[in-house]
Amino acid sequence: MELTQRSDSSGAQPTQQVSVSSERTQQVGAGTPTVMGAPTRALQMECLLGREMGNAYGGREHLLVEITGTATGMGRRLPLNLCLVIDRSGSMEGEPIDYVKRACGYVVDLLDQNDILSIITFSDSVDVVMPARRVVNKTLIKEHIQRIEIGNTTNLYDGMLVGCQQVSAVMSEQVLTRVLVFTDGEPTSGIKDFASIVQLAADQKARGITITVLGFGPEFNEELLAGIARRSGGNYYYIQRPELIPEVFRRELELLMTVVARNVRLILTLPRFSQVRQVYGAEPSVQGRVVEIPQVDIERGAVVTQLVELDLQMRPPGRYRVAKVALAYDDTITGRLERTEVDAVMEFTQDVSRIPQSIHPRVQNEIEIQQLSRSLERTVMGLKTQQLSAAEVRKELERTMAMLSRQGRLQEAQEIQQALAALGSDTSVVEKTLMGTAYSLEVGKSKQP
Amino acid sequence: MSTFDPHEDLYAILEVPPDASEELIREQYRKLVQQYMWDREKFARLNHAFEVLGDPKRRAEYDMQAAIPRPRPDLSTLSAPPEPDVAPTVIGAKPEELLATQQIADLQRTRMGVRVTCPVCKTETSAVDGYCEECGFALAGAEGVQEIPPLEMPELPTLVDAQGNTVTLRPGVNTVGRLNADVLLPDPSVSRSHARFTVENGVVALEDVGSTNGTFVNGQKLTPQTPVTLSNGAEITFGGMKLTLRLPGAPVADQATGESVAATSAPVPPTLSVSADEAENEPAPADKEAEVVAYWCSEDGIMRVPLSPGMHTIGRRPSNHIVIADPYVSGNHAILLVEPDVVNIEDVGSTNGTLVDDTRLIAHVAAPLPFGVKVQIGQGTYYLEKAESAEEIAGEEVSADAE
Repeated sequence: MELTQRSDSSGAQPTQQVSVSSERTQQVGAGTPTVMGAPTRALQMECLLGREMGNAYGGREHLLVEITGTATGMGRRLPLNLCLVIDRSGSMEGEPIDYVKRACGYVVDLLDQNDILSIITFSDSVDVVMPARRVVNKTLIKEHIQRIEIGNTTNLYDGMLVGCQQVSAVMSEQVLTRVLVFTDGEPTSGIKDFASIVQLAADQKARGITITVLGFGPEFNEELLAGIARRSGGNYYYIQRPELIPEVFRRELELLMTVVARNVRLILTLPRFSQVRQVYGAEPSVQGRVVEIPQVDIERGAVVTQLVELDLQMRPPGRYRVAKVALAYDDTITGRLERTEVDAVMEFTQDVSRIPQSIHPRVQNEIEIQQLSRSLERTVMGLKTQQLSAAEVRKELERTMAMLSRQGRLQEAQEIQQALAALGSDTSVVEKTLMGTAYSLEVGKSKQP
Repeated sequence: MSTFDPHEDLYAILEVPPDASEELIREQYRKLVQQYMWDREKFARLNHAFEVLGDPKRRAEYDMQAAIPRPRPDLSTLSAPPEPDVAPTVIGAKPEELLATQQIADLQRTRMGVRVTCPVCKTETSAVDGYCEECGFALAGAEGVQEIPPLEMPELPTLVDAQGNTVTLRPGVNTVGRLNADVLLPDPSVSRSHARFTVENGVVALEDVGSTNGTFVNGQKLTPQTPVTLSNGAEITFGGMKLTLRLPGAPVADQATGESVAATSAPVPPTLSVSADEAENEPAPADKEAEVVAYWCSEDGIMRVPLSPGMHTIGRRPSNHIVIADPYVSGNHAILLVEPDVVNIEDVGSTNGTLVDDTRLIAHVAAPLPFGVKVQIGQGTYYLEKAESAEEIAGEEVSADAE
């Protein structure tokens, strides 16, 4: 939705204030006799509307929800239930597999006896290097890791499946479950098609299992991995050089160890006159007037945004709540299911001159980011299919990088920079990097500034 | 977990009155847990509620704490039905007993919240939040207001295409484009964001916002970003799509019945058809001779489609008989199998499902749909309204003749 300024003689000013009118939070300790040492909640939510004034005859408005993971330190972390699913196909021979073994060793070092670990390797078939159990005898585990041998083809599907089976056998509310899938190539055996593999991720997600994908080297299918990540709500990593593998594993583990909220959902309850027109970067489930939008797990200090476009119908002028916005999640700090609710309120008028032309800058920014994400994906497609020349891609990327820098999205701007550096020499780097950038913009996760 | 949140109405969660017996609470808990087993969140709340209310000591503690009022706008001045007298005078009762019953009455009043009739949508709603639960109208600040009449649509300009389909322009900005626009023109020659109409005080202005194939008014190409005022009968071309502007008060040409169904389905503006083969877009039997068995109505009163015997398709694509332009309705979502004595509904494999009376239909299995029962498709709610049957009408005529 692009809004361009037009010469506006009415002098209507864009409203800047937050449009939250009342916050009904179920808070521990609020109003009750003081409970000493009540923990802070894991997430805070802020809602913004593009405009607070709307057309009584009907119109559209964007709603932006920003969810922040608390930055305060946690006492203990949630124990992990982790499965490492490692590709040991022929192409992994040499440095790649050596570094992966080292990375697995680091993971073992970082875990403790409260954590559960399983290790799977796959080539043509699947090997269980370590079935799911507590990390007690680290030396023994590492010995097993060292014995991983190179195989032949890449049966990604079976690897993923067995990995998910391992974690699901020991899954519970008490542990944070994640499957890490590391691969360096296209699936060449077993079930190979995009739809089936992505569907597997979706099925596992429905059972509460999130998959993070780590793609290494120039040959893996970034569309496939991004598709898995998207359906699963997990992370996407692109590792360019083997020596970077251990660091990326460590980074993912650090994120897992700082998750403060999981099973995060935004639940919009819409009254009459309101409808959801578009939910950016997520697949909502819609039942009549209740729209549930799943979110990724949120770590300490992370910020996740969700943008929604509302269709507002004709109504008598006045103040209206256009949506009840509820955030529900499993709080790893309080150990409970938490729920926060906020009202999104607008005033509707027949006098169209009172309606500001421009919308709240933060909402406008997010709209731009979502558009950037889509255009990035189109650029990658254009590059692959060679419908776009390198010069056109360069121009597009430079423009995107400038916009991201302006918006303070430095991590993503840097990634574009890397892609630009590789443009003309190594297309695979460009495609794989940009796919990750597009995905992370779409998901809307960033670090707190 | 012994912290209670006094703002959470545990009795409401278990759907029992505040003075419910232990057995009732237990029974309700069991019943609701069965019902909501799939809803993790509701399930957790039910458990929490039962944990408290199922234990007499904790329940007593909760009852005391729940008397603390929530921070709410002062709604006591809203027009509300009189509260029933819960504390009847008891002759010979000790003063302490009376006090206890009065406390219970206060608890009940606080807990149940005030119920009012919304001046906008006329539904009875809890005023606890300050907003009407049905339409969202801000009740606080509208104390004493009995009725707010619906907004009258002023006579609005319309755009008419070659087939006679019309789109109404509403006051303010109306975007024109191939995707996500107020005036939706699904033709490849139209840009995603093509142009913009502005309707203010009966004056219609048009501006090209940088389209690929241009915008033409009476043959003249518009300069991008330069609005022009349009007069009645102006012929506007967006890319390959030609439309005529009609200002209110001007004579209106014959309107085809073709797209009128799509035009009245609320959420998203009607799509002007581009293809010449209108037959595809005709709703099933619109001719008056076929006997109308029922009407497919939307809850908001905007859609009312007559149904005669046969199959009627429901979906987002314009090729359906009943077009619902909601992104969460599948291209082909469901079908109605209409017979003179019964109407069946069948979900044809939609993404978000079809709910009849809050129960999701099994795909590809037809189920009878009684009149008045709530059907949820996408974000909308619908129901069947029985048509006055021919016999009834004939019966009246016969009896009239007999007089």
